Amino acid sequence: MNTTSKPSELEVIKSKSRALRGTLAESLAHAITGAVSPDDVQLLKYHGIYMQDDRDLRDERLHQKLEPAYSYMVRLRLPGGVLSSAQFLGIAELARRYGAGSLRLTSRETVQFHHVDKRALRSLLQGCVALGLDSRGTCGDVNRNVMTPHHPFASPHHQAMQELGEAISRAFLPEPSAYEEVFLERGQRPVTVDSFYGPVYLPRKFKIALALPPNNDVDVFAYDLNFVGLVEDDRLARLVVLVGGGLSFSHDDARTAPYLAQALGCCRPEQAVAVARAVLLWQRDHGDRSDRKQARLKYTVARLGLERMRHDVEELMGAALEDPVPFAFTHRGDHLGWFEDQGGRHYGLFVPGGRLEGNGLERLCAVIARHDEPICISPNHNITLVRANLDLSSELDALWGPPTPMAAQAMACVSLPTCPLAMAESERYLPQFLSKIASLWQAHVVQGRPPSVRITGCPNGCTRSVLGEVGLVGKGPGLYNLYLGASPRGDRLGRLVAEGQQEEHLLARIEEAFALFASQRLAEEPFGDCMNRLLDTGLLADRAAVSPGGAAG
Amino acid sequence: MSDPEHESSTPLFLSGGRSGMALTPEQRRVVDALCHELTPEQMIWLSGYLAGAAGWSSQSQSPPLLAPQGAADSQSLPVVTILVGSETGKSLLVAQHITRRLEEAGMVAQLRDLAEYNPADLRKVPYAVFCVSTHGEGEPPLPAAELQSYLQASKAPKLDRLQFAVFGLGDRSYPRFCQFARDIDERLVSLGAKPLLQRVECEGDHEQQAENFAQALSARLLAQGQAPRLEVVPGRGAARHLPTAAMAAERLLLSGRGASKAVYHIELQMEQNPTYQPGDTLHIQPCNDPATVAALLAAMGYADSEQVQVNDVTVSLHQALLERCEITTVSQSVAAAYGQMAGVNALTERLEHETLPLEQWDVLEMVRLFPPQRLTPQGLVDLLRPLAPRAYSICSSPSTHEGEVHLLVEQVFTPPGRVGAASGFLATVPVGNMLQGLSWHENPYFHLPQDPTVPILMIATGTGIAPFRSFMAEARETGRRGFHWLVFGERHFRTDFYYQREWQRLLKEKVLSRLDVAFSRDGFGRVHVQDRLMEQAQLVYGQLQEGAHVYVCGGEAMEKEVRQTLLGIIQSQGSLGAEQAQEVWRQIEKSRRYHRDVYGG
Ligand SMILES: Cc1cc2nc3c(=O)[nH]c(=O)nc-3n(C[C@H](O)[C@H](O)[C@H](O)COP(=O)(O)OP(=O)(O)OC[C@H]3O[C@@H](n4cnc5c(N)ncnc54)[C@H](O)[C@@H]3O)c2cc1C
Ligand SMILES: NC(=O)c1ccc[n+]([C@@H]2O[C@H](COP(=O)([O-])OP(=O)(O)OC[C@H]3O[C@@H](n4cnc5c(N)ncnc54)[C@H](OP(=O)(O)O)[C@@H]3O)[C@@H](O)[C@H]2O)c1
Ligand code: HEM
Ligand SMILES: Cc1cc2nc3c(=O)[nH]c(=O)nc-3n(C[C@H](O)[C@H](O)[C@H](O)COP(=O)(O)O)c2cc1C
Ligand code: SF4
Repeated sequence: MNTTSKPSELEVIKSKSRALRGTLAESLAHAITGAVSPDDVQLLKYHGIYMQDDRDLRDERLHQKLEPAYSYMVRLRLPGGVLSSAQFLGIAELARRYGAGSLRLTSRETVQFHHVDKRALRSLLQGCVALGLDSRGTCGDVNRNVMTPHHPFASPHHQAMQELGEAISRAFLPEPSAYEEVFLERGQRPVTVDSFYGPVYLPRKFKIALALPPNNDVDVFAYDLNFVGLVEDDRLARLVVLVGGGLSFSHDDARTAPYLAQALGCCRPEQAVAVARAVLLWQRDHGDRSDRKQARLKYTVARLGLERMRHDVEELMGAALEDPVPFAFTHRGDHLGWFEDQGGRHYGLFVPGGRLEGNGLERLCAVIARHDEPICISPNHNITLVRANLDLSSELDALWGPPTPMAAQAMACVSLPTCPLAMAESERYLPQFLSKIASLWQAHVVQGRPPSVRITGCPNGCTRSVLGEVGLVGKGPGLYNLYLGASPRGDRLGRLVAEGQQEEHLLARIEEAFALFASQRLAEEPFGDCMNRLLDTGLLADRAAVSPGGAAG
Repeated sequence: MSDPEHESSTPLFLSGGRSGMALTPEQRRVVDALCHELTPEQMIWLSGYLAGAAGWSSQSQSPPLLAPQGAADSQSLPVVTILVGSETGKSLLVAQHITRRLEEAGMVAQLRDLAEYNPADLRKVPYAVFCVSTHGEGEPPLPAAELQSYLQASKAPKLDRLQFAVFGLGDRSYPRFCQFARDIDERLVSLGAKPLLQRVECEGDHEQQAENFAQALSARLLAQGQAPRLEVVPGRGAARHLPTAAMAAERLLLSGRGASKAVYHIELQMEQNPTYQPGDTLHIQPCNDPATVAALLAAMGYADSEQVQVNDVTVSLHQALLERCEITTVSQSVAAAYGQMAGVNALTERLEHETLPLEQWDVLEMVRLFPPQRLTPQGLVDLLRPLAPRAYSICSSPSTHEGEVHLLVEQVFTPPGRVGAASGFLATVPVGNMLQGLSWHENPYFHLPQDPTVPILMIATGTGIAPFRSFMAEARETGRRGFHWLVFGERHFRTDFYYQREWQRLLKEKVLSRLDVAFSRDGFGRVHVQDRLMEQAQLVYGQLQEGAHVYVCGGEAMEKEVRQTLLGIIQSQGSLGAEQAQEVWRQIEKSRRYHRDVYGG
């Protein structure tokens, strides 16, 4: 770690925060603004809350002599995305009351409330607690919501992975006193330094996922710490530990880049929490605290080396890791419609854009009111109704209808108008973008599985766009980077083929790619693999060759 | 002065010159004689002396040389006491006019504000003239509260030595027109006082009626033998009244997306540099909507070209309805007059037996619901009320927004589908257009306290926040350092927090010391400004004890509840009995520390 540099501003805020309290109570009581103080904006995150404002209205409201239309996004902690049907109905009711009637399922298997008024935050969080749910540690420099293979009821192995996920989630929660004091209003609690994280928590956000081959639905290479479950003799025998993934980067900062996680070693399932503890501690103590753009585990690993890390982690665990063993994924994605597995017969419900609101939400609630079994949110922001009743069939089918093959795999992040980081449209742009490239697909290809299309409004990569076979990353209003060649199994990043371009140019490149795919495809070759091969061979030009001097930066 | 050219004729300046200030022949003789006696130096000295003397007299001080003599005389003269009960300053204007006229006629007139007047003195004075308005629902204006309770008390004294006259101001769109003037008049008679004149009930055109009243009054008093005597009694500065024009320089919809009302910030570039004070109002003479006028003409079956008389001037019927007649509102008396004159018996009968939703009607609606049996164009114009100017609180400050006047205007849409005459016009006037017929009006009872350290508590709902923007802009500019506390109520935080950014900045700059808000329809409890006052009862009481001035602006019903709340706070925080609390409150009102400017619901 770079110990000589000055800690970043956020490190100071954390250390002064009195265990995440800051001046939150005062900020919440401050009635003349819908905002909280700038420091409290940072601290809110540790409680699962992001301050946002409606960016569509910023200018307009400035002229109206009004402050920005501030509101809050609240993200639930939901390891593996599992909810009881009563919890789902309860959440929907809370959204109606406090969240403008809108829920957003996320690509990390959880649920977000949006448009929450500052004055409603306490009621909302208390309402969640009454449902047995909370939002602790879903943002901020701590371990975030843990992803497990979808869906946890598919087999005993899935169930075992789910249990590990839950154990990890529980083990690394930040100390609850501020949450209980400020939001749950349970009276004053003593201010104590977090016994695990210490006074300044982690240097940066930390994400954990668990996957069970052959389905890489969680995109297990995309996070800081990951466990791949290996089944031997019909028993979850061991876990491959992957570290140092992370897709986020900054445009125009060459020191940043998307990384895939690499194997650190193997452990037994019962060691998962101990491994996680050691990795978190190692990152806590070695991560860069002076430059947030270099603070994630992937940079720490790059700086200190995998060898050194394994050595330190083993020392922290007091146990050795086994060497990594090979494993393979064949696909990723959800089952949609009716499907069966060891856990029974389920229904995979496609949710357009992961957005539940208005009539759609009401109709879904009416169905779920008649469904007693769990509901699981998938890594593609869809829903699986576990052991659903066949009687619900027609109503479920009628909800959003079956998606087109391209839409079924597509994802877009929330982005504008609420996400403060957004550089370009995403959720609102997806439908029109999809329909345009779907017609190009029709015109050139017709047969074969269409590519997975993913858009994010900025390089933070919430919906893992550089792992989409067609990946768009926002760079400015109406401008995107285009990535092709990512593996449909989530184990290879896409390559930049257009940088900061408008739709017209992007579509031209995609059309070119589709035409090449039609003519050059090897038997059964998926689109992403084909593109990768063509990029290797130079048949498909990368961006430098295509538009000399045309792209900025 | 021995210049031969001027020997035979009177010098120009002595004849009063072109300005027509002629001396009486007797005076001229004295001056001429003097001129012959005096040296040029003496004459120059005298001219200075006379000019000085003129200044003294207008400042109400007797010239020192004459004082002893004059003072002795004025003691023995009967004084006419002019008593004013005014909230928005109109009665005060009338009273000042009357005072001036009586003085010009050589009488001793003394103008007193009822807020500071001890009603028991009515037993001692020979002549009292009441200039009073009516507020609330037929209630006395605030400053007259004490007079009201004094007169209405069962133990009210006989006032049989008092002669009096009443000039009432009111508005016929309220059911109890000039009620307070009537109450005083009747009660004084029943207490034995003798009316000098018939009571005047005045709506609009105050100046002309005040003039008529003053002439009648001085004639009556002179006939009673009130000796002419030159003495001028201090009065307050006259309200500014001159019509002027302005350009609409900016119009912003302040109501955020999804708001349930449309409230506009309007900036006017005044043609003449405005000379208002924070708290004053701008009056706007509206024009009616041409489409509505056309529809009304069609409904009545009249041609545009019909000629009618309005105030002795002949204009086209179309123009009269457009510019001269109130057609957006229908009062009880207008409806009654229409029922009678148009021979609509059904309307007349229903008016007698039930409460019709007149506030939902405009004249067109009335005509459609109750078509006329007979009515001439002249008859229609005569029965309608004159189109009155609308008042808007000025929300700019002269020291900050030079040459400009800002308004905060809610576009009135009641009932749905119709727009208010003035607010509808202001909400749509294109930027760059000229507006005619504006005048600013002094609102002397809604000004900041003279002493810049006195704390102020400002309470507003809706557009009632307007004058407080002016107050705080002024405070910022002048460095006023009292405790400045604003309590504001509206429906929605997100859309109806007018000037939110400005308030935030003023708080940061510590010009505004405290801001409490009550947004009533956000689903966090139906809270109102008075609830915020209750929550801060201790602070409110503390401020009152520190001598705070309280300003309330906005809805009438709100003001009433706020007043009750303040009274309650005084009682509970001061551990006082109801009577004692009332007394404290009376003192606050009496010392003019409670100011209100209220309108509508
Ligand atoms: C001292 C004073 C200060 C004022 N300051 C302001 C100010 O700062 N900003 C401001 O917007 N207004 C202010 N008003 C109110 C303003 O003068 C007008 O009364 C108002 O704008 C309506 O006038 P109008 O010509 O548009 O409507 P009109 O043509 O007079 O009325 C049209 C219809 O609207 C109804 N109506 C009238 N007033 C209201 C109302 N307030 N709410 C709902 N319905 C109504 C009438 O009953 C009628 O049916 C103030 C009034 C006073 C007396
Ligand atoms: N026809 C009329 O003469 C008339 C008169 C007044 C108002 N109005 C209606 O109201 C609108 C404008 O009136 P307004 O500016 O006064 O707005 P308003 O929206 O009626 O009131 C503004 C704020 O004052 C609150 N309030 C209402 N009555 C109160 C009381 N007695 N004490 C304390 N607070 C009170 C309101 O609370 P709540 O949300 O609880 O109401 C709201 O928060 C118009 O659009 C019109 O529809 C009509
Ligand atoms: C038209 C010309 C003049 C006008 C309008 C005028 C006006 C006045 C006024 C208003 C005052 C009173 C000031 C006060 O209240 O304190 C005053 C005082 C005085 N003026 Fe003049 N003046 C004029 C010419 C002169 C001349 C020519 C002289 C001397 C040669 C003069 C000498 C004085 C003196 C000495 C006083 C003070 C008087 C005192 O203390 O009582 N003035 N003048
Ligand atoms: C809130 C309010 C209530 C009023 N109520 C009445 C009333 O009941 N009867 C009436 O004749 N005039 C009523 N008026 C009209 C005033 O008496 C009228 O505007 C008068 O000119 C005000 O004079 P002032 O400025 O001296 O107070 C009311 C005015 C307001 C603002
Ligand atoms: S990817 Fe960027 S724009 Fe999209 S939601 Fe995440 S942070 Fe916001």
